[in-house]
Amino acid sequence: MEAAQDSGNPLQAWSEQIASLVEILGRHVVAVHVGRHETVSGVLWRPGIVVTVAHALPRASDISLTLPDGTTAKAQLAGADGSTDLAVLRIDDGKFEPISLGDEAGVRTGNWVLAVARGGHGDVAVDHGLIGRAGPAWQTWRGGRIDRLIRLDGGLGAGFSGAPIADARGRVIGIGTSALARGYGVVIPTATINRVSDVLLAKGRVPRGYLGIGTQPVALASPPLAALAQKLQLDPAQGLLISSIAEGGPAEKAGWLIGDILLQLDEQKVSDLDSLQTVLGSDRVGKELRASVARGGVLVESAVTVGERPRRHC
Amino acid sequence: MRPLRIAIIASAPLVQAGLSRIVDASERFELAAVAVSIHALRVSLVRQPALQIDVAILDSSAADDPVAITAALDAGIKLVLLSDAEPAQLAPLVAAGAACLPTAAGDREIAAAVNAVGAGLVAMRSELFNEMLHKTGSASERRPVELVEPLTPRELQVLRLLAGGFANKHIAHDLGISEHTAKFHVGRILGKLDAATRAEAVAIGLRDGLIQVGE
Repeated sequence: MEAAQDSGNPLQAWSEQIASLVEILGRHVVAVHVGRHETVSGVLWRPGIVVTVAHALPRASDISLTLPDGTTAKAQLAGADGSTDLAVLRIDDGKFEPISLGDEAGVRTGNWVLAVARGGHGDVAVDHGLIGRAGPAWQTWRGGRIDRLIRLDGGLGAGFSGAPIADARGRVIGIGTSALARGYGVVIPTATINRVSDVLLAKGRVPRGYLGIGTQPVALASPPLAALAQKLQLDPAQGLLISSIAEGGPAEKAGWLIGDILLQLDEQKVSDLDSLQTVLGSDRVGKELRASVARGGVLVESAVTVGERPRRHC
Repeated sequence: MRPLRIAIIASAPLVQAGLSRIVDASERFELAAVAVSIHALRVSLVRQPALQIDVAILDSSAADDPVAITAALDAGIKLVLLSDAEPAQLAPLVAAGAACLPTAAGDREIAAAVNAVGAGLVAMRSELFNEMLHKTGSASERRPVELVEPLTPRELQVLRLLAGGFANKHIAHDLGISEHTAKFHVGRILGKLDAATRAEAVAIGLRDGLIQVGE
């Protein structure tokens, strides 16, 4: 084969460029051992900090990694959040090269991207594809907020969950996961990783807003309720019937009663679990929110201070 | 190998207990959650971000609608469905990645299906598979023949009314057109479908999927 540099062959130049991108990205990628023969990937995100996917992690607090130089290391789980499928690990490792981060806001449908994984034997694997779909912020089925919808054009192979996804300039726009959608890899964007890992490193978990209520969605069909729905411009005309109230919880302190129908919270409709979770994001813990409640067909305004969901051990 | 974390979704306590026993019997499984419906499981997962599940076993006693099941599958939740529903109802769920077993399935079958789904495979009884294969096969045979000249939207409307057994006069009244025009449309339909009679046109329309029974 002729020397690549001198051939003037654009295909060869292109191929060499990709190999260089893979080599540079690979310096930030570790293998996370999740089973005897199974790995996912992780990214050396900050000095001593690896981010990876939460869904595949074993319950053990000590997790074994294979580092870019081929050595193995023990990592401690700093925290995991299933709602965004992110986990943060701490390692004792002095070597760290700042990673080149891209801006997920600039990602467009059709952009070419590269995924770099590390396998259990320390070898690097690569895959590439297009951004199949790019859209605004979205909420996962488990209630996590993802700053931007970035879906790949196909599935992610075994071991590529947790791999950095980089654009054609080698800038990392996020990490890939196979667990947030069926059949497609999804990118957890850089902004989400930074936001969630800050919280996980500080608290070890993502706090959940808590009102201390059990609810059931109900249609606002009877005339007085329908009139209220119209007045507040609720679409769909649906509210959350409060079916239980926790003792000493925020709802009890706000004077809510069983049988009240929650219509609005912080001036946003709360017609189902999704919309309630949207309002009760982790940044609302400790905040006082205005609430509109239907009681006996009459609109009652109150203020409720969002608590933090008590920790439960499972 | 890391054990699979299992969620059991069943409203009947006896079924919950039975499924728990299957999960407990294998070292490869670990019981992570028990819920009465998909909605309830979702509430638990939303409330406990640290909780992880790999596979959920969904019993037909948990009265979840197909929409909730499909939403869970689309979100990447892996399901083993215990249901005696018709193959036609199960087909879309199987296509979305759910394993389907009859409610009479035994311990070993359920455990095998959980392992299969955990590995990203589809599992079902061969009888169900054969039935689905057969259904799909005959559906493709019934694929509409390419009409040389397709029916216009108006002609499709008329064909639907023909299927209802209505006379030209009624069709004309229904569509707000003259009886003469209605008769003209019927003539065009017979010509395009190469049908000798109105009844034959309806039969061809049904066979080729231009109209559906009960429309």
